[in-house]
Amino acid sequence: MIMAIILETKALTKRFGGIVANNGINLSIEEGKTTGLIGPNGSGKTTFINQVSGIFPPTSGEIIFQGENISNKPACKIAAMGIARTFQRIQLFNHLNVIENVLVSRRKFMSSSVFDVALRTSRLKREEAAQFDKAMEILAIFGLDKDAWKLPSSLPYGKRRALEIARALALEPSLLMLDEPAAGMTKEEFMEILKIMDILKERKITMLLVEHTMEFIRKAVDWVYVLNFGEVIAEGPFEQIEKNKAVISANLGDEE
Amino acid sequence: MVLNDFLQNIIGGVTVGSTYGLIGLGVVFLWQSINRINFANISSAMLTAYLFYSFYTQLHFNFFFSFITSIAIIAIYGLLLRYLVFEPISRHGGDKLEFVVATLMLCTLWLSVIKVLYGGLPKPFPPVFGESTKFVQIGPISIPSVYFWIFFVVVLLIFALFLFLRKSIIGKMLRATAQNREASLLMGINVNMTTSLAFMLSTTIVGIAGILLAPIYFVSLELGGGSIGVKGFASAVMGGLIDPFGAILGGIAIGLVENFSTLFISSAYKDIISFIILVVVLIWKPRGIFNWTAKGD
Amino acid sequence: MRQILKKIIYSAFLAIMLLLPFFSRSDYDLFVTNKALLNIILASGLVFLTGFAGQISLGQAGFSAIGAYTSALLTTRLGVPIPIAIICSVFLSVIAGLFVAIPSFRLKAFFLSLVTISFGQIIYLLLVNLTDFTGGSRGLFNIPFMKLGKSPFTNTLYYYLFLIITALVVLLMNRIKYSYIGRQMFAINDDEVAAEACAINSKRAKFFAFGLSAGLAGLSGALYAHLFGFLTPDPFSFFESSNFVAMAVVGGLRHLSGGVVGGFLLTWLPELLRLNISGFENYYLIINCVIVLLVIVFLPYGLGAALFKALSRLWGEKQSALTLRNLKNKSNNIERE
Repeated sequence: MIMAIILETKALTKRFGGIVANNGINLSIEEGKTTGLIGPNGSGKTTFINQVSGIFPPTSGEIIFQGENISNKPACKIAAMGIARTFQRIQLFNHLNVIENVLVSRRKFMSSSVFDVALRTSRLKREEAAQFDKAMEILAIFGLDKDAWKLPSSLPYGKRRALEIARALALEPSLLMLDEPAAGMTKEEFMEILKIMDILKERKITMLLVEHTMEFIRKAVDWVYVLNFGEVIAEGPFEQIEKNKAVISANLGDEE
Repeated sequence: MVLNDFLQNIIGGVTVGSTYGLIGLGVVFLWQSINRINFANISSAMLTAYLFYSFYTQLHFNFFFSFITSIAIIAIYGLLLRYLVFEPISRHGGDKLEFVVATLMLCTLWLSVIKVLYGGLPKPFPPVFGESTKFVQIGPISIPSVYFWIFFVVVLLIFALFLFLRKSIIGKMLRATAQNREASLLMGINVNMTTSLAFMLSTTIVGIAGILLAPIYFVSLELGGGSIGVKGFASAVMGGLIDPFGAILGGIAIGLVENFSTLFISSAYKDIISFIILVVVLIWKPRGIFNWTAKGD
Repeated sequence: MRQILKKIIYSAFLAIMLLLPFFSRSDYDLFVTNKALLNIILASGLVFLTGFAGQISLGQAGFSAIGAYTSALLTTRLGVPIPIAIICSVFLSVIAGLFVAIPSFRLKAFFLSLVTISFGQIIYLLLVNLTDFTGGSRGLFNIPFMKLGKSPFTNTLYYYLFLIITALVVLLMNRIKYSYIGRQMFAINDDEVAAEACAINSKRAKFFAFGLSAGLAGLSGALYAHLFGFLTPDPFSFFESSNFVAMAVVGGLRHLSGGVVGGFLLTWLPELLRLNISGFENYYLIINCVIVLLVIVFLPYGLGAALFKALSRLWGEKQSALTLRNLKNKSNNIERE
């Protein structure tokens, strides 16, 4: 079986003034698998995701996505190319309701232009209707279809996180990056998130999972990278990592 | 360009510019404490100047009384600004933009009120700082004696502010609240008090600047209008909106540029130059000329 | 039954709009209404820019000035026919808008407002000082009125023309809001970084928002030039720019009616106040400001929004989506109150 590498970083480094947030990270993500990225707070996990998703460019090193160097591309271009992400602090569009949030991602699949909008052509009507249906389908996967007309602020925390993931999935990405999706969850919400992870894996979505919670990682990932002070200190399947001395001494994560 | 002109322009620029800086200080205080911009900031300058004029020239009270009372009134105005404008807007769900428009309306309001009460013509500033026509000769340069007074008061004020902010307990509480509101609350700092204090300081400092600018710009509507107001904002921006003393430096820079540009271009275009410089600074160095790290929007 | 009520109210509104010239007391009133319509056009653009896309602009009068003076100069100096002159001036305003959009990529809120203020002021100062070109404070005279055959437009004819244009503008804004364009504007307004992560090109969106609002402001200015026949820099000062923003805020920033309600009210309010208290020129401005202040403090979402909220309660509809029409057949999940 050929393992396709969908994303690869080579010596990825990011400096902020005097601080080196990421130092020479070499990482590769296999297609169809879930890769974990763990490490203590401040180890550079979010910085890594931010570079891959294009929020800021790396100081040095390369990011190769499906064979193309995306290191200096802007975020919207990278999202259009097929990398979607969620944020550490849930960042939803609070003035748009649930289905409208998902519809924002669906813009990518519309070819209408300003003129179509101004003249309200049949193309626009057709595309808007089609994307509406598609968005409803996606919401249904996450059990959010009944909440389609609610505002995010009226949803419980777990559902808001689910919505953020749904919105990312609506981009039909080749790579989905989740930044601490299980953070701050109650036991019930945690179970729901695990179910979501199962759904995503079932659909063979390639994922990069940044997490803090060991329980979550254990159940979800196929391969783990361990980050500390901006550098990869270990990588491998979770069982191996758990026993790794360097990892233990760095005192990573919380045991739930 | 003769050396005399050069030096005179520097002195003029620094003096007037430092008052622009004071106005910018008012902007910075409020921004640091409530994350809002008060576009009616400049009204405090005009109101205080007119108050002083009324007390001193019209009602013939003595200098100190007039000065202290005007300042006191404008400080109370700061408090009213908080409780009658800022708090209600926040309570009813309004955010930054609503506050901006509200303060813009206030600015126009005060201009109209003053016009109704005092008429549109500028009034002369009473010769408290010496006759306005009196000059002091230093070597070949003659400097209006008013400038000395203005500069003296500005330096005194900045020094007093420095001591207050750095050394006194209340000053430290003010700075703490500005840096991190939640943490300050948790530390037991009376954030309510420091917020009120910030409002009052903002209007008072600008008020004093108004009295200082009045000898040059006269007790006029110009004091409460756009052209000086924008220079105040520009000073604050040059200082990155962070450091109050950066605002002073920014103001001085603007004063200098203003003075020197009139040597090369007709004064009609002087204001255009100021605006162009403002745009250039904003686009090129949005964190202030001296590159402070600006607090997020 | 509620639907019939809705139809009655809308029809009444339409009837008033169409028959207005016959109800107005004087030609001057009609002139003010014409100005109000032009302000509605500008304010609608501003509501789109600031309310929908979240970009603050305190310099819209600058775009209006570009529109006005371009059309005036083209028709007076070069004899260009009015419709072509207007199209050119709108085009120029849009270009100016695209330039002003560029600072908005890096600057937010207060800093952006300073750039837009500077833009507006630079245009104003240029108008005042380039006297050979613009006539300076003395003004530009003899700007041609639009003509029907040989005779120039009356206020009544202008009214119907402006009414049609305004209606088209409002229709356009409506279509834009209830489409993917409206969604991406609100998305960028709420969270630009998250929007980019959803493949929304925020730069292009900002270009669009600034371009559109500048174009509408320019259109408003050009039409004003031919309505009035005479131009000075006065209507393009910072005071006017801030007034326009007040229109948008008072009308309602996230609501389509914001431009209409705000534009209409804040054009008519000073006029009504001026007429009532004769002899005291400046009192009307004080009362005007106080009233606007009161609206902002107590109804920060705007009068238009409050009005429609009340109306929709009247006819029992709840609009629970910002950019989607009530798709009754699409979903059976529309909430009832």
